[in-house]
Amino acid sequence: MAIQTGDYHALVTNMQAQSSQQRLPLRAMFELTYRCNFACIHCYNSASQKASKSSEEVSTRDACLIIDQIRDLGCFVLGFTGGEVFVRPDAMEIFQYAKRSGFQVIIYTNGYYINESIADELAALAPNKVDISIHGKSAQVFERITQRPGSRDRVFRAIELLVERGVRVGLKSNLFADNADEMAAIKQFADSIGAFHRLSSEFFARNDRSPEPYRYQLEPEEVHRILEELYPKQQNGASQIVSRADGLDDDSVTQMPENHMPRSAAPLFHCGVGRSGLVVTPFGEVKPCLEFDQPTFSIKEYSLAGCWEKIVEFTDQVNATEDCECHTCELEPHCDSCPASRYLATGSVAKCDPYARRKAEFKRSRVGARDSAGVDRLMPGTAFVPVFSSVVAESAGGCGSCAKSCS
Amino acid sequence: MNRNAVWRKNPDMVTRVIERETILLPVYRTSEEIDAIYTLNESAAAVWELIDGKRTVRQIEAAILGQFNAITEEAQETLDELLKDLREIKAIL
Repeated sequence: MAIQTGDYHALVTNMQAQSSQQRLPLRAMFELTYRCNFACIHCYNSASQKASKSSEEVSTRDACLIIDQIRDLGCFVLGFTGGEVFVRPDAMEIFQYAKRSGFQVIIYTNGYYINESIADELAALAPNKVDISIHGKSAQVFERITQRPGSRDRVFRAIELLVERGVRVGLKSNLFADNADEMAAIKQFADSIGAFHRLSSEFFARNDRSPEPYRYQLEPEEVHRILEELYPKQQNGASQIVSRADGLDDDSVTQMPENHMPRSAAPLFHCGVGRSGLVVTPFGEVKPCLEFDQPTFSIKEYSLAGCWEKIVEFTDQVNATEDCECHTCELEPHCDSCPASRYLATGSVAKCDPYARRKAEFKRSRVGARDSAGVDRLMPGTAFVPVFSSVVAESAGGCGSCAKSCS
Repeated sequence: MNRNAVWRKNPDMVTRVIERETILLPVYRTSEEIDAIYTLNESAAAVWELIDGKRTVRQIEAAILGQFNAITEEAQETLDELLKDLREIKAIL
């Protein structure tokens, strides 16, 4: 047959492999705004970003022109994030334009503004996923994190409205000491509505390197203990969690992936930065990834393709650096630190991120504690519960540059 | 198949060519069909290019014969099958 119904996962995986090889961004993340009606205590956006004005952001027309350029570059999966995307009154118009342009559209939102009317519009749009953060089941815990009274009920109502209309919903949570006791209830809730649930135990410094979010970071031993309770080993020994490269599995110890190189030989950016993913800021700039905004390039000045070339040049230049501490570190096979996390933690992409080190030490101590599939399923990182298998590929991380759960 | 029929692309079917894959993406579908994407092989992609609401099936066939050096009978059969498939997925109207 001349037409084939795409095996979605296989198609995206294949395109991802090819685009990475040819250094074409298959996935992009468009930060529509940094403004947000929540003040989440762990947010990685800086105070100055959140205080930016709508007048500084790209107009609807410019956003659409940027989407055209992203498309021309060969991008297939386009995520929209913020801030809170729905503080922009033109958000839906932009999503519709992206959908009409042939993108697989993912919308990251806190859900607060999704009322019946927006839910109807989202149902008509049929994005691949609407991804909503829920960091607590009770109002007390939820709102202690979002710092917005009344937010818990609004968000849960939004989820209900979307599910009623058949919109595919993803839920994500960050693991805090404060919400650990509610995580089982959140997971149960996600299961009950058939939603994909992503759990991350990683926190990033704010984009201006303010370390505030690290205050909430649990130590690896604690994360492991909580995950062990949350995802008890199934009787048949099968892994209940789809493991990803950012920490759940530690295959690199005994089972080197085909493309895995020891850090001593691998480039510093061994993720999708400058290879298969890009991020556009609300101000019409391109930056390497959601966490990492050094350097940024103006689309007006260079065009999107020109900015992408500059990001590629930048990563090549950084990759040529030889003095990264990882190159000689004995923990390297267990470590999933990346240049962005190292930069945010230390101010240098080449210096050791202390939390990543503690995590790697813990992982090393766990070698041998694997399940029958050969995977230590409960390593700190991001947990993936496979409900919609085809969404899995689209749900990792934010910009798609890595599997971290930053958006 | 009527050789004088003229088909046009459904505007709700977006075409993307990514990494040499021609992909048809239906927009505004129900949630269950979100993952309904279709890939075209080389000859199907060539036919798809030629469908413009103006050319007849006969004209498309002639163009394809020139392009792919195919035997008339076989080409006709393949084209008919393709157009049937495209109609089924509502890619052409």
